[in-house]
Amino acid sequence: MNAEMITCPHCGKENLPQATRCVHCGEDLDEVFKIEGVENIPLPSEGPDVSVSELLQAFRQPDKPAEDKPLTAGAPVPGSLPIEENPQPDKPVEDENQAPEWLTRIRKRAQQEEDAAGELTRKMNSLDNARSTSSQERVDDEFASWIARIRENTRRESLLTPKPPTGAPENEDGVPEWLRRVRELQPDALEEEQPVLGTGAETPAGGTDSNPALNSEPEAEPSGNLATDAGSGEPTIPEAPEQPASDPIQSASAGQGEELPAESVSADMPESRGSEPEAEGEQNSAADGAGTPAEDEPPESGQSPEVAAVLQGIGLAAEDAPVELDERAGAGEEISADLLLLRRQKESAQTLLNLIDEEGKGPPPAKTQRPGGRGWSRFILGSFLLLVLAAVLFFAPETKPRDWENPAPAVALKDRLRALEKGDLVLVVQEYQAATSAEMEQIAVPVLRDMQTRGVELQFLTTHPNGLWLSGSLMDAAGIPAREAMFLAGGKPGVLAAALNTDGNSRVVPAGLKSLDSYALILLLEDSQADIQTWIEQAGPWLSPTRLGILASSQNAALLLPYYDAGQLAGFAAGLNEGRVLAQALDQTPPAGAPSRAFQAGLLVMIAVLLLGIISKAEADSSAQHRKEPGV
Amino acid sequence: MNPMDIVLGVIGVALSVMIFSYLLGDNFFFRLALYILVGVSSGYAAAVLITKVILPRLVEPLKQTGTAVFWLGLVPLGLCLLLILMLIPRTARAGTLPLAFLAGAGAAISIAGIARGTLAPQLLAVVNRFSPELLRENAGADWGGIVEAVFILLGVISVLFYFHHHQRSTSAGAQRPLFVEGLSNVGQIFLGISFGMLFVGFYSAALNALIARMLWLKEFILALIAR
Repeated sequence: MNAEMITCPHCGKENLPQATRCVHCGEDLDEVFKIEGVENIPLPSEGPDVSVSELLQAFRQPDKPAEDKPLTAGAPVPGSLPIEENPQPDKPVEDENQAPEWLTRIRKRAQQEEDAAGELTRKMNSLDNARSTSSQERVDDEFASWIARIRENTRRESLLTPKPPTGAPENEDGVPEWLRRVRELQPDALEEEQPVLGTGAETPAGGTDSNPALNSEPEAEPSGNLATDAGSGEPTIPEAPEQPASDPIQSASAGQGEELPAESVSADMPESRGSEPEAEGEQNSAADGAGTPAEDEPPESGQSPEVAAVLQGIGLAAEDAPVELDERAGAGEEISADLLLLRRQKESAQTLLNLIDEEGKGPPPAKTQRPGGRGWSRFILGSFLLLVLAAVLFFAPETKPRDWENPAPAVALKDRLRALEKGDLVLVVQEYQAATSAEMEQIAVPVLRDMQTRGVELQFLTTHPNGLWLSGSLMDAAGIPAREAMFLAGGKPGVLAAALNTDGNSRVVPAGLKSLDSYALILLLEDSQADIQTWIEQAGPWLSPTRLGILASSQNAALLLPYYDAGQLAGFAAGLNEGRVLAQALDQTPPAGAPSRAFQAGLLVMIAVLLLGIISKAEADSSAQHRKEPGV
Repeated sequence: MNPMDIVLGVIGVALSVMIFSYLLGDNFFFRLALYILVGVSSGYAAAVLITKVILPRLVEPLKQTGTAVFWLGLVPLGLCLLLILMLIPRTARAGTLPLAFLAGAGAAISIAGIARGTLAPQLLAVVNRFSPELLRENAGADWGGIVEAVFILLGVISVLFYFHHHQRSTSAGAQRPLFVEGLSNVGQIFLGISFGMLFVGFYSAALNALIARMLWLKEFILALIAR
């Protein structure tokens, strides 16, 4: 795999061919913009002063067979360079139908998605069109604009994409952590890549003994693409395609030419493989889909100055070096990993585009604006309710409480209370809040006073912390000698534990609390549905139905009725009205009750508010409907 | 009315007015009253739990070293320590164990209680309303009771139809049979009545509390004037 490592033009260290940025220095490698065809264009051999027009002329040439010798660069590997004679000069070029699988997938995906691959295809198509035109200026313009777009995209990505840490961890294979994670996103690609590597390793070497690199790695870089000058050792750029391809090969084979990094300029050209004597093994490995780079290939030294000058001339600076389009049959999965990166880059570009669109616009409001007038309407309605209640309380004479028909649950509870005898033990469970203490005390005081006068023994229990100090107020109001209320912690589990404490020796219940079966009546003072259900569901099944009575606030009447009808309660009284009935049945002074006129006034205000709300909502809906459908 | 009652009364009046100031919108005085309420409640609850729960249930058993109570007391102590570890971000995951225990035990207790204390008795109550023995016990047919039982049965079935088939129809978008649609609409009526009753109950309770508070204010003001 190291054989085709690309060399960072900045730090000179190796990177994987898929890398878009150097894992060592973080600079852009720009390998994502791979252009099919560019790698097939042999560069002129004049040296560093090759003009753009000559290079573009080379682009316009149709794909040359194997006689178009590539420019080769890289470390000098004796014997590994191309030979001047080309034994297979007319190797057919891959046409559209014979495109490798990875290229087919890229094109297919580019058609399906409007991502960078699509952009790539578009540029490739424009390049192909440019080849067929006769106007060189037009080609030059298009090519220059194309390169400009690539550079602009690269610049935007470099601005948007955070730099990878320079000290990115690498595993023993030299694969950076980020690349390994990218590959984890496509396990299939990895699974398919492994046998590819193995196949490449097992491919028999076709090179000579004098070429240890090729012998050890038959799938190594197939002769490179850039040749070096024979005499000087400097890399040379082959002549235009009409020139005999043997020139650069001759110069390269002269001995000391060192290979330029093939990845820095062009791709591996399949047709060039046939030009090498050692290409047999390479062809085999390529045919096996094992175009994996050789691992022992020495590190490339980067672009040669000549190539860099040419690239600089056409607008491809070092950071925008043309990327290699790996045409090896086994590299398709690597490309798919690159496509992931391309997608992310496109998303980043879209983000930038959105930012540009938002440029000049004002910042969004930090806080959602409420519709105007809502606060005033709340103030007006609330103030109106308060004023009405205050007026009724201060000025309206209080009427005599109406005699309610005896509700069955209250009567049943009265009967159960009447059945209590002197010495019976009653557990009073206080589970109401301070807000409802006034109502609850008015309901409970007559009942407690009745039991107290008849000699019933009372114990107080609470599951709420505030029940401890509310019990004192209740005892005072009922004329009961002050005693400490027991505190049962734990909520539902606590109630269940108390119900299951049949022997009275449990350590999780308060010390004074006996078995619930030993109480003649458990009287719950409740203002919460949840607390009521807790006692009915956790303790009720373990108790006799006649042992559970409830005094509750008015809003709980509806909840209690089904339990009473099902026979799970001895009886209940909910609200001041039923409390009044119960107190009268017990021959106790009934509670004063809430001022009925104020209560009625409050109900009227609420009814009016509800009607106003309904009307305004209907009006708003109608207006919205009219706006949506003007004809309606 | 002694001076302490006056001071406490003035404080109560001030707090009540601060709460009423919410009619003008969320403001400093309303939040101040709210913070006082939350702070005082939390402090009081913490004091109660320390004196009534932690000291007698957790600390006292640990004093009896070597006994079974001591060893049993180590279990809640360990769970408490795990909960305390949640305060440290690096060890916050340790607190999931006691929380998982609490959630699991709570869910099990709740489900068992609902099934045993509400579902089964309520279903039996509906079924028992159609027991022939009830008709035999009475000299004649209790038509009122029968009508009531039919209404209860209709409410139960229609509400169940509404929930069951409403879910199906909204998910699949399929057209329901007319009978099912009608029954579901009846269930919707029952649900509307139930929610309306709940709303009235809550509103009346809140109204009662408001009236009680205003009555207290009235009496306090009149007492101050009479003094």
